[in-house]
Amino acid sequence: MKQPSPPRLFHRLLSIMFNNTSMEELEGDLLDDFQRNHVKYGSSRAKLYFIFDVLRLIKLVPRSRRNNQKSKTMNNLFLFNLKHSLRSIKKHRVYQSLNITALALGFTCFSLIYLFVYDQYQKDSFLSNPESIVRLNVIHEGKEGMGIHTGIPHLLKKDIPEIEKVSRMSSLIMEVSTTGSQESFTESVLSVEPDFMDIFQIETVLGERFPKEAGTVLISEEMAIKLFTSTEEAMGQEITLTFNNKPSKKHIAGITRNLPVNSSYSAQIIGQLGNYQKHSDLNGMVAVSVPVFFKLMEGTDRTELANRIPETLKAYTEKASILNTEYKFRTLQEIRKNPQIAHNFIQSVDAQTLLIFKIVGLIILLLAIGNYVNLSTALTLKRTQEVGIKHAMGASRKNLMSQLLTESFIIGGISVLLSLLLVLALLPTIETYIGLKIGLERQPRLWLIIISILSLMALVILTSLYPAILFSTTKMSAFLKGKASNSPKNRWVRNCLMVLQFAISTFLIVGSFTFLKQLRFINKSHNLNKLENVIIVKGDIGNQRSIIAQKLNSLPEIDLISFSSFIPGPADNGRRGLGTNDFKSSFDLYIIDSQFLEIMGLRITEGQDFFRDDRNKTHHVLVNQAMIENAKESHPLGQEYKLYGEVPSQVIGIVEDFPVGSIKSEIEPALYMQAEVNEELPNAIKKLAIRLNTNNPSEAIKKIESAWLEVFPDQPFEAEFMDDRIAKVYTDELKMGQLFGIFTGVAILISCLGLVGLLTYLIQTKTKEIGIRKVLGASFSTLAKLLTLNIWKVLALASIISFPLSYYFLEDWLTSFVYRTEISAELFVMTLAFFVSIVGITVFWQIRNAVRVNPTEVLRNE
Amino acid sequence: MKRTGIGELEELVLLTICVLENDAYALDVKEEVERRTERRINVSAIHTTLYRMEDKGLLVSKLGEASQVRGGKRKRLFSVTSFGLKSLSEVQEIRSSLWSDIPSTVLKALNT
Repeated sequence: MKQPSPPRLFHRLLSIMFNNTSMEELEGDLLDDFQRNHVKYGSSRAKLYFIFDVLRLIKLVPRSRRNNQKSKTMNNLFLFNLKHSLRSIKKHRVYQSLNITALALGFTCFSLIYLFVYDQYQKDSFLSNPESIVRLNVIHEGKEGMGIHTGIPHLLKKDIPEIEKVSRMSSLIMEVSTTGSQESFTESVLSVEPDFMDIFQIETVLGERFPKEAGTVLISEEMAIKLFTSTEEAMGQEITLTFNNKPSKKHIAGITRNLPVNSSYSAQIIGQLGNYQKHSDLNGMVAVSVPVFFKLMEGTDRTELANRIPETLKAYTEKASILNTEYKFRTLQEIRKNPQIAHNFIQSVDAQTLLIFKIVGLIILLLAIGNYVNLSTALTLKRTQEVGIKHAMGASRKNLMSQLLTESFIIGGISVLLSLLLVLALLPTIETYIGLKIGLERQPRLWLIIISILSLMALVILTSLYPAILFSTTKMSAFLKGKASNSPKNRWVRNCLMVLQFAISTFLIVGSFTFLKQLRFINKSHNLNKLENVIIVKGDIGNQRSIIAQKLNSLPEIDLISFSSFIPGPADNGRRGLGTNDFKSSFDLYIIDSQFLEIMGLRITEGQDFFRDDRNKTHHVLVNQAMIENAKESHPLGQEYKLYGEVPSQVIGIVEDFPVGSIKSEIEPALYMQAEVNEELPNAIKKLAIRLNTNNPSEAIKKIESAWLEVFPDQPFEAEFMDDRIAKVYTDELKMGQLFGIFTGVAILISCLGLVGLLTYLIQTKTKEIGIRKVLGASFSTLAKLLTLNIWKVLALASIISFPLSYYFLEDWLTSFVYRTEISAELFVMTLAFFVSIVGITVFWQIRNAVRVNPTEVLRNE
Repeated sequence: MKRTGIGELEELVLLTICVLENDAYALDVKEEVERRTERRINVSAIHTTLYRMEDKGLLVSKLGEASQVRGGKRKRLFSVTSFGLKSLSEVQEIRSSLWSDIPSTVLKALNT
């Protein structure tokens, strides 16, 4: 007769539950019971009872598992691990504090950089469709400009259905004050058209949606509170906007809502755009350019649309300058990433800078993690005996791993918390330093913190898996003999990590020094230090020129004075490029006197200076070297150009370039006219350059100030040193350079910490060897050579890898500069020497300690 | 009075093991209890009781020899410990002292 069988599923469950445990008898008991029940009650009831019994026995499963383990000594996982981890951390506190410092520093830098980068990515995320907001740029002779002819925008709106909204815009930095008040501050004032409010989603809190009257403006809530304590009070009040010393009074017609913190643009004061009607004729003589923003229909192909523009405009004009240029729509995002095409309305960060920072952030994280793995592996191998004993006491592989993971959890937790505190402490400082607010709302900020804590912890745990596996898999006997540390595989991994670490740090050191060198080079080049004693005073000098000149020339401290319309340096208000058909692009126009070139330290390279005698003619002008490139036809020397008035101007000389612009940009072409002979130009004289020949400049400045106030009692005395002025152009780059330097410093610190830790470890594992060798009569130098041979090899390999790579990348980067420094060989040598000395000092210190110990004490152990 | 902590089923099982002269296995215990109490008991109930009492120290167990009968599956044999016996006798003492204190008037009803 065939044996009746219980329900198969539950039978399987039963075997799974108790198989290979101390309660394996249960299966047999239940099967027996089933057979008996089958006889007694029949098949179905027996099955029912069986199922019931199996289900009821589930609660015994933990009991069977519990009793299964070999020993109970290693059982209480969590508390045991915690206790032991804390003990071992305490025991190896030197290494662990190195570990924690390196990790915390690495995490801090990484988080700061990524906070900054993330912030850049989430800019303008509040806009409903940021892709559709574009600015129309023109590309003229390879140069991209952001202004287009004022007549074009509205013609395009009329003819191209994809354009939903259009607004021309101009933004000027003005002095703002409440009418009647002396205190003022500078703020950018936007002049726009009504569509602007829709394009940039600017909402109104109070009053009108747009300043309809010319004499009214809208101000933001923030501005209202700054000026009048509250928004309600600000309504209808009057403020004074001063531009170019010309004040104008405006009534406040409305209050706009503050823009979200993560907006890349700011609109504090909005006025009406002036009337460009008379310049709107495309065929007119005067072309005025303004930046224009469009809102396009969703899903519009921007490139295709831009290519259609010249065709559309054909109906209105035949001018080649309008039809033969390339037009390009730039989205907000593109503008944000490229300071070259942005202006003060939209805050931008160079995409390349951002990329460099991203890479540096990743490198630092990599260094910190690599360092951590290296050190903790070394530490693990130091504890071989501990592992052996634990194995002997019945600890399973899982126990050992969880012990190590608990340790790294503690280490990681401490470092993450430390770095969180550091980030919170440093963030405001860095924000003010780089002048960019990290515009994050509270909610995402919180999430960001939580996510980064979790992911960094996960990273630590993940990376500590390697030492943990190493810790738990090596054979017990090898552990007890303390041999594990010599296994070739470990050494290989460790050496690789070290080579990587060194190579990266070398690259960073060389890179950051070259970066700083390049910055210094630009400052030092072209005798800018000659300009140390030159101060610049600005104001409406106009006809009073000779009066003030007379007064100043009587002061003994003054060497030389010069009047001009502009001074090279950061772009001034009212400085404007002048363009004619003879030149490829616009150029700066300077109206200067005969001392200007001398005071600025500029030499004549070709042709000659303005004549000082009766050969001098009104139409003589000078141009700078950049103009040679800019001229459309032949070399400009001796040529005549129609610039001003009836008589064409003749170029009689070429002047050296004044090396100022952005760190990367090319020198602007410039044309110099004489102030003495152009009597119609005196109003253009707005700058006074004074060269001092005294060691006490502040005294001299006081005297100049009193002289100035005598002549111009109604004009404030504003003076600055020429070199400060030049430095302003490079502030951003300098700051970036310094920040970069700081991060590099951290990276170097991390690798040095790792190096010190590793060396200390290596030497400590060899205390016995040192002892034996000492007994056998080894000298200090032999020992040092022996112990560090491996490190030297690693260092050499790292240099071989990183030097050519760094040279290649830096060379590539430097070629983007007009004035560039060279990569010096000393730098590489210095870097190498630096590492050698770090190794040397550590090794010396450690060996001294090891050697000092009496060999018997070390050797007595076994 | 000291708490012995023995439930009814536990007491029954303990007594049954004593009756079976120790080295009893779960199914024997089950059948004996079923026969004596004339009620059906699930074998899982017996198992949980047995293991619980083992954890308490009232029983000890050992694995028996593998036999052909059960397809080579071994039995676990339970024996009462001296602590188990002591607990049993304590329970009995309490009961008998209670019985002896029942007034004869109450007991009359039982006899009739």
